[in-house]
Amino acid sequence: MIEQHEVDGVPTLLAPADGPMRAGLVFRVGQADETLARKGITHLVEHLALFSFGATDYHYNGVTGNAYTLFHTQGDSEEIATFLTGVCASLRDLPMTRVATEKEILRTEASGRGTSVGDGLGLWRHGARDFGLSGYPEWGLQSITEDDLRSWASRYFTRENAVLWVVGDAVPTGLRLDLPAGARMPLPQPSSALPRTPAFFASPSNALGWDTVLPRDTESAVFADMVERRMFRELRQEAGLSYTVGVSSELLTADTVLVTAIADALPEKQGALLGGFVDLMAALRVGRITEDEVTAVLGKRCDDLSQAEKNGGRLPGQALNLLVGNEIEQLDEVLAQTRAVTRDDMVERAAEAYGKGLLLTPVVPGPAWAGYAAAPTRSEQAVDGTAYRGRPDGDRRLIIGSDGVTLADHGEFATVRFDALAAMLAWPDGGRRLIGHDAIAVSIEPSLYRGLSAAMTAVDRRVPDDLRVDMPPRSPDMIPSPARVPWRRRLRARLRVPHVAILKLILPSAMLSLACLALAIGIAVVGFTGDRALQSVAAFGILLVAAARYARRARAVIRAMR
Amino acid sequence: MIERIDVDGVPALLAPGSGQTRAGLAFRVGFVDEPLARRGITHLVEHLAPYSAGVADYHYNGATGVEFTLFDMHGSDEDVASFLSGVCSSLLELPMHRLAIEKDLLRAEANGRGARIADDLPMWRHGARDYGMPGYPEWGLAAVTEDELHEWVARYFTKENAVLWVAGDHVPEGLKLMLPNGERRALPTPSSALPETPAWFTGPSGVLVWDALVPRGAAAPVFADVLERAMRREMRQESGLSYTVTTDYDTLGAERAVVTAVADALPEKQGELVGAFTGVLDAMCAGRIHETDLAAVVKQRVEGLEEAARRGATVSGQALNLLVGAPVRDVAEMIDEVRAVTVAEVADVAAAAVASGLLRTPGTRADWAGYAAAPGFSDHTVDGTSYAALAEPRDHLIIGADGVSRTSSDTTATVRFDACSIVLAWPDGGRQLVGHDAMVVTVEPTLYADGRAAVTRLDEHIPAGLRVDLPARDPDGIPQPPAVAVRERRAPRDRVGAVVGLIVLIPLALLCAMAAFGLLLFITEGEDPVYNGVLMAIFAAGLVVCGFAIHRCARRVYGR
Amino acid sequence: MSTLIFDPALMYAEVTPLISALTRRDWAGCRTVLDAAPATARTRLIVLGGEQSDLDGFLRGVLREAPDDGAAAAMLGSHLTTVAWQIRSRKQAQFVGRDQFRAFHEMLAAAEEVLVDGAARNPADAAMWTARMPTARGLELGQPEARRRYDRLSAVEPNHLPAQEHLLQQLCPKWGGTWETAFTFARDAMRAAPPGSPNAVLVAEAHLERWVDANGSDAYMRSAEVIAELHEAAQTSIWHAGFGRAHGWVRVLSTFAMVFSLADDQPAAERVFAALGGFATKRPWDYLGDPAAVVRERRRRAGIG
Repeated sequence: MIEQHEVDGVPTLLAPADGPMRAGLVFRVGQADETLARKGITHLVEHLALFSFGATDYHYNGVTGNAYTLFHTQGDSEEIATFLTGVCASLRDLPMTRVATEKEILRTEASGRGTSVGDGLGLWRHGARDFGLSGYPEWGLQSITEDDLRSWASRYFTRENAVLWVVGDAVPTGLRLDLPAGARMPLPQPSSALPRTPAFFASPSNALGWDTVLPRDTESAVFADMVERRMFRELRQEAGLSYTVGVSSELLTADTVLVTAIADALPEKQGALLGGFVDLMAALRVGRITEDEVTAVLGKRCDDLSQAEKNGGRLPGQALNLLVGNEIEQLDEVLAQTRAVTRDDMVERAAEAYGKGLLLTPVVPGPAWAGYAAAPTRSEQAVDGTAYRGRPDGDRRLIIGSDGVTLADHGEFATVRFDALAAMLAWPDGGRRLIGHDAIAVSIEPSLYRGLSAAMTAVDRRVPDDLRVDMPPRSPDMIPSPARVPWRRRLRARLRVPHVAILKLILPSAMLSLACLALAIGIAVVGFTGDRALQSVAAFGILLVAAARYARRARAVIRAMR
Repeated sequence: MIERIDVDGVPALLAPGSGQTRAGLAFRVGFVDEPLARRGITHLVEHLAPYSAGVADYHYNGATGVEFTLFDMHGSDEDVASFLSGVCSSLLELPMHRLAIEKDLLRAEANGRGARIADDLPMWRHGARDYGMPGYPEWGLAAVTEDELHEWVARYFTKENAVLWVAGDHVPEGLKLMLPNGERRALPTPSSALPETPAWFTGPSGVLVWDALVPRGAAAPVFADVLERAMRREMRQESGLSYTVTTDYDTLGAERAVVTAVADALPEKQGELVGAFTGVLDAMCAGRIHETDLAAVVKQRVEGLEEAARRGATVSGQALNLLVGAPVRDVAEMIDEVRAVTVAEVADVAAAAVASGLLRTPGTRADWAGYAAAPGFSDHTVDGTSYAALAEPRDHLIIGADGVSRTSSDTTATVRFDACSIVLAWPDGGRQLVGHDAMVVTVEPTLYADGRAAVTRLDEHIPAGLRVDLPARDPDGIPQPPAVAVRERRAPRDRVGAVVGLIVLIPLALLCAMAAFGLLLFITEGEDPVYNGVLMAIFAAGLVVCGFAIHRCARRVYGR
Repeated sequence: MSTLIFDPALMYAEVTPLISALTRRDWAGCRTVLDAAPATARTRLIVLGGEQSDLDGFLRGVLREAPDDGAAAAMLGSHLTTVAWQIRSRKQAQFVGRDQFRAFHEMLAAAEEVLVDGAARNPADAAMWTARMPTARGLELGQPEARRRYDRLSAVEPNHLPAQEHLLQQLCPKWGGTWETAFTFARDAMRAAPPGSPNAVLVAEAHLERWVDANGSDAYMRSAEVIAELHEAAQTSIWHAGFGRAHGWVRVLSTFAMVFSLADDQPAAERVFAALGGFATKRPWDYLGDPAAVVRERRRRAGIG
């Protein structure tokens, strides 16, 4: 049974459970509230708030998620009270002397952490905004000022924007949550970078990933369990294609969840894993779901829920629920809802899940053959403006206009409009990288375009300060410079004749014609001096015919090769 | 209170726990028992055994560790009994039709897991034997046969070599442990590949790893935790050098334990890591240990033990103690011991740890801190036939009846056949030998003059049972001698030049030949035979020069 | 000289009713024929039906009415695949024009979409999985995916020769495999099938592919090991007492006739030709030119008029 209380104006959930006492203070703020140009500010606040507990006696932890930030601890009643009171005090008055050091620690943390499959999916589904930001590095860290931190903390880390949960018999007595007053912040609206679903994209990865958006209800939770069970059975047990399979759900809005499935595979098995997953999804979509399967999933889910109730595992999720404006769900309600789920509900959910799915695979070509649409990697349109020719590749053009910039490469566009700019990275050497809301990026290296350097100030002027991220200097070998291409390679590129054709066909025919020429000169020499001219004419004729035939064949083969 | 009982001839420990029944079956077999050429065989057995139990809807877990293999399960009495009974019966009759799929899954598991940070310390400390095994990939999987699996199970998965633990009120009804008879297998004695300690070697940048052997006892895990707190304070809180600072504690046999420490840093600041870490260690040795640290650690450990006892989680550790002949202990006793740990005891453990330490630096040196360089080369070569490297004729590969050596101007690597752990063999002729001391000699036939003959000779001497044949490598993965590589890299530009050369040179040569021949005809008739003679000589010389140039160009165009 | 018969309608009784039902656009009639046939015959009949022209609209109509009809989905998929390969016109890849190639891929993708859905609804339909083998090959989905599809099929229908023929093609070097895997697969398939089944023809086909790859070298087929293996294959299949004249037997015998003829083992060839009577199939004889002329010539060499 979950009880609702209030501590210093903060809504509080309390539930008794086995094991030591635990508590968490969770705020409705996360990476999804940030902008790309200042990404990392919530994580930095979390680190600063925990600094004072550096080497104390607590089991504690801080987590910065997409939609929430959590401070979590375990211990006796007194310890918990001291910890949470301390966190609140730090949040009110952030230890600004630590900012530089904690930025360094965050960089070390980032360098030790790889990107996850889920982050990649987020980026492709949502673009360079809100729920897509988790796929990007914390580029904004260096630009964050003390004022930024203060205004961020006072906006989001407030009494109204927090929920406390306590696993134990009572709320710790000495607990004071002295937080500033503010307002409950609604979840950011998830933006979309996908014109069509089901969609796919190919990206280097050691796993296959898939996500979809479903209503936030019991049916979706059961459906997620069913997908996981199927993946385990079909992809791991029966086919041996994948070792780790997992499905997770995350709150996206107050009434939708993002369900993410991941399956790893050996590089050489990725093609078969893709095929296996496509078939698995197709079977779910057409409703090939058995009653037995649903019964087994429901049974296990009810067990897990009861177990979670006993050890307090349901509390953090319910706290999030409360935070986004939903009601608390008691165990018996959830169990009753779960038991009421039918096979038909699952069939319906499966069709919906398939329709909204996004699939990540390292396999090229992706599953366009199974009816998945390729997620856009290019822009539809170019901006109007001045075009600058690339060097050495003259077919590449950079167009700078008053609306934005476009990189036009062999008829394909990458466009970032200034009114849909997520961030511009700026290096001291003049290099720029503009990233649009749709995650399409344009890199500008002034040295690689004719006459561009002068026009760059216009671009810089169009970008507001809060979207500009100044980057540390690059090492000289990272700064591109136009490569000098030898004239012979340029000539060959222009002719576009396969190398083998040059060697095998043109060369002999050219030699043959030259030999004929030499023979002609020889004959001329002999002819001037007198006799024996006619005898050589026959030989000359034969050679000429041979050369002509060879040249014809060469032309035909080269055509076929193009 | 832990109760000792016996279930179907298997020693068992019963301890009260809360919630659902938890039970586990542990065997005294692990990585340390595997020869490198069959590395992975225990893990394969662990994967095959629970298959028949129908798995997907159970909360079960199988784990293959350094010294033990465990199967554990929580759920209703019925589920627990049927799972563990099922494991035993499939150990008696392994589901061999799953062999290929499970081998694939194990490869996928290894691929997904990646290398762990501290993976290479055991091999530097112990070599390619017993306690060095955890660091090696499961190279033996490809070679494991059904017969070998049967033998392995018959040797290690026996009644005498097993222990059962149950956290609950009683042994689940219907539990039948039908295992074959055998004997208790003792742990191997750890071998050593380090002539002196403390020692160091260099590893990848950005992270420092250290491990040490300390006596087992209440003070050792306390030392590990105190070390972590000290590292966290000095390396993260105060200097902002590291983000991750962790320590780990693991028992090694009945009397010793390994303490491992890891600290990371940005590459531009990693130069400070060795100094910062050894500083923390030295302070602890000197007894400069914060009383508050010790008190906090003791408190946490006591709480942890109490909580574990309440859940019945200590009994699994005690079951493992039983398997290696260490005393089975009561929680109250353990808690008293932890409470009694003093600063001086922790300092003693620290001193033992420093003396036995092995440090992997992020590319920097550590000899200035009093650490000896761990041997990265062999001190002798074998006698035998010598093959010169194509790229560097002073480098040699020596293949003898006793072993294989690779020498270059300043290094030597030798693997003797009587101290060889594995020979990996690829179909293209590539071989890799790993010695008991973890020394590696790779034999790439493409890199040596007469390299094919070298491989044939080597194959004759490979001791039985050590060779593991692997599938064909990606052609890009087969090394090519640098000379060839350079020529190929230069080729495209050179070739065009050579082609142009041929086009010009061949007619020129023809012209020269014709002119010289013409002049030869007229040499006697002309007005000025001397002038004609000189002219002819010039053309003849031109012909020779052109011919030579054509030869060079043709070689470049069409290869040798 | 006897006349040669290439028309499958004259070899197998089920073909005429199936084709005429298809021509009448009578799906129920087609199903009557297909449902009565054993698995291998059913698969071959579905492929044969799919080779008729202009089925797209008709079969899509059937599927709209009954989405779970596996036979219709398999035949539609097979039909679209046939059309796709006609577009590609069986030339070597580097000479196929870019637009032609795109059209080929689009048509295969259309086939695969029908088949993904069909396989999801009928996971135990052998014809469906067989039809998914050539699409995987044409779309270049790779060896592991082809293997997975075959494994799915063999889990429900082991020793399914039509699918094994496709997998064997896929395992050959021209589609990214190796001779070692191709021959291992063919030999394993031969041993796994009960004596008297036609599956040993895979060994003959593997040798035939190897022979084509060696530019039709006579020396390859005439080597003692190859001949011995061909005999072993023939003994377990066509010369076994249990060998029945099930749907597809003419193709099996034709393949053996061709390999024995190429191996210059005339007595064996004679025996196979005699068993064939006047029947012949275009494949594999078209490797050697116009099938009718080639078969006559080879029969003459074997001493049969």
